[in-house]
Amino acid sequence: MTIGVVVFPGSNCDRDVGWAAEGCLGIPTRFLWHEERDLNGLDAVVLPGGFSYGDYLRCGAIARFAPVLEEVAEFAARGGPVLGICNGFQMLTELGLLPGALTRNSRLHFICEPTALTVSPGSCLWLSGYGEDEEIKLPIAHGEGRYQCEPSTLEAMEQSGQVVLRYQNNPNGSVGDVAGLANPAGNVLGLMPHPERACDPRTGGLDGQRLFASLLG
Amino acid sequence: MGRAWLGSPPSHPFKLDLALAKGEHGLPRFNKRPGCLVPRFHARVLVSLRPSVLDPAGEATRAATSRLGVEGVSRLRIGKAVELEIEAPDADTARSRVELLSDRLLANPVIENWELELSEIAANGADLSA
Repeated sequence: MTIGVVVFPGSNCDRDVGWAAEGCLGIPTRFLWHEERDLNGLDAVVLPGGFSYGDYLRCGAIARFAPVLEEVAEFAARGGPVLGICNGFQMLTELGLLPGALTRNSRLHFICEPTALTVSPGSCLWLSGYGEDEEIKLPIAHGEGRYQCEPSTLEAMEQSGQVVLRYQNNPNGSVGDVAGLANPAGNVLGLMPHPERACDPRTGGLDGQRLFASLLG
Repeated sequence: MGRAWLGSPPSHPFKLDLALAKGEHGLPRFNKRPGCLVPRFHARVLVSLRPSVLDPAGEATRAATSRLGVEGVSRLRIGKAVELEIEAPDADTARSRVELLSDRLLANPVIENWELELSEIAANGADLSA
């Protein structure tokens, strides 16, 4: 089991993911530069948080064209587990691996605080360690996390169980309180909260740890 | 000089690759008229949030208009303008290339609309639409 963590110019949570996976759980981690194309030997890929390419144009809009992401899209299509955290979630929507888009928080502030969430894991591979309607607390840190999509798209995702994480106290104005989404197959998860920052009791609880531990089966 | 042309003409120093000139492979280096540079076009892409999408930055800016003493601003939406110059064999090709860019890179159609203004730039740099 090896996790690949993609590093873009401007990523700033890549090492946190490395610490959460390798430091706290002992899962070997390999960092992938955004220009790499070789995913051989990887069992899962994480797109970490940060400000890839300075978040120019739109968050994730330029990262979407990085060579590594072509390979990640193919990896996801083959059923490979892909996790997009914060900026990584924005990339997954820009790539079209998840529907909708993430826009400016409704009250404009950059919000950095612990947030209460309700988990509806359904068939999402990454959330298999959580119970149905389990309440957890994960930190958020974003200025553009307001999830936006057509009402019909949201309804379809609600029906198919793709809305796997919801805010209890919607901090950013997301439609449907969406904090995280899975693809229909359940191998791709995008979420605005930072599970990697809740994997070490010294820095912020353990509610995120089961997400990475799910890879160990 | 008025000198009569005797014998065969010298080979032209710039041999024109006709396939290249017609844009059959890669970007053409010449216009249809040999020796002419590829036309350049100026494009302005106006990107705006779709009407159904909340624009909190626009709303905050609208709230500031009355602080300047200007009353009656009932709607204010913030978008962006992207200006670019592109070389293409003709206006239709330039347009279709910028349309592709607008739809796939400059705007995210999930939340944004875009409009394109395109004009040719003359060899001397003047905007031909002006």
